[in-house]
Amino acid sequence: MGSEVGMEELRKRVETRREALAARMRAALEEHAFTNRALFPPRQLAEFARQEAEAFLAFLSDGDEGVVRERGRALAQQGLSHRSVLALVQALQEVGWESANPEVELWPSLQGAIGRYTRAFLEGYMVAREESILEQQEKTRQALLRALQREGQ
Amino acid sequence: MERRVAAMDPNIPNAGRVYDYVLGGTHNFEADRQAAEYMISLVPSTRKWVRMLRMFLHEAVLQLSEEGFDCFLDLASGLPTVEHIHQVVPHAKVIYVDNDPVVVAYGTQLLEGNPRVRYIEADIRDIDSLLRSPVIGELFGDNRKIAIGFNAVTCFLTEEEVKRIARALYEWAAPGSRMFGTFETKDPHLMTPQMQQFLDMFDRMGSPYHFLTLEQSIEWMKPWEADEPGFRPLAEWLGLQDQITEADREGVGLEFYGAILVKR
Repeated sequence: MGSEVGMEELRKRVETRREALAARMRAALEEHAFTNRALFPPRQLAEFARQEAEAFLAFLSDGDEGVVRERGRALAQQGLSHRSVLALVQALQEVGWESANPEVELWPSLQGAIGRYTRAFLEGYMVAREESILEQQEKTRQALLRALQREGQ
Repeated sequence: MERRVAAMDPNIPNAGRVYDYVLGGTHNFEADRQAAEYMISLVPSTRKWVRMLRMFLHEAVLQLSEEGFDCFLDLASGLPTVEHIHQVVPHAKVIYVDNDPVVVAYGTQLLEGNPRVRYIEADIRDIDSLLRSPVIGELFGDNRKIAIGFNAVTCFLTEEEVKRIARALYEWAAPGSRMFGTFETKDPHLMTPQMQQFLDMFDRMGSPYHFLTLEQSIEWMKPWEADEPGFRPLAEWLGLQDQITEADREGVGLEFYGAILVKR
């Protein structure tokens, strides 16, 4: 992990591309809007993209992976699809690369920060998804069993 | 009873679970997923259109809840999963209705312990019997200013059935009641071999599927009137117009409309 000064420099660079980052994330989310679940309303995608861009900038300020993990978990519970997540990661990398240019020596540090952010986000996201699937499987099993028992009586 | 138990066999596709799969739910089995994927192979945009149906339901329910509606009667509900009404507005009273005993038995168990939700097994073609169900009074009391869900229903009914159901609900509901519905349409002059296979599949399952036109949808639902802004494509409701391609119309001019109708 880079020094605090390094992170702050990176934040300032990405800050100059804040609007572009939000716009690119919005486009990515819209492209995959049909893969999300209904609790993730299409009309809120622009606001969500803005929040996601802010979340990354906040991470560049404080480096708090726990907050990012929690965000991944919350968004999985809200119904953000894995396709949307992958599209967001790609948008982040593209805008990150543009932010580093032309001083390409910044790119390894920024790439490292994007990697840590993505890993923490995915950890939270995947844990929540797995919990949800297991919970739903158990509900399915119990519902089917009880329905069969009831019908068999 | 044997028929009902056999129908719960997870090796036999069930319409409710197939729909759940297409919506992205997990209350389905391999046989359901295979049936759904066959449908999607014939009409690749199926997933988009079906998900827009649920997204519209989500938007409409939230809007009606904000307008003060707290009693929802949902017709032909399918499984109460994947952000169905009680999950969108947990404080509201919700009655789901379906004629599939598997869906109802299974749905009832999924909802067990929720005092604000009931599931009635009924065929909405016999709308008068449904509206006499004691369950409605038990949950809604004397309140008849109701928000009625009528989503992806007309495509499974004849003209006469739609008109009779719409009229009966209109007479039963109190003034100010709303009906939020979707209407699945295509160009009546267009057909492709794939779409014909898709429709034939529903025929073989004993649930013929009919696309309407927009004009038929508006006419058949009378005397319900569309609230502003009227019948609109679902993609417009959801702000997703740019995400619907010509390919999604499957060569037959597919368009799904949504409307919030009102009893004056």
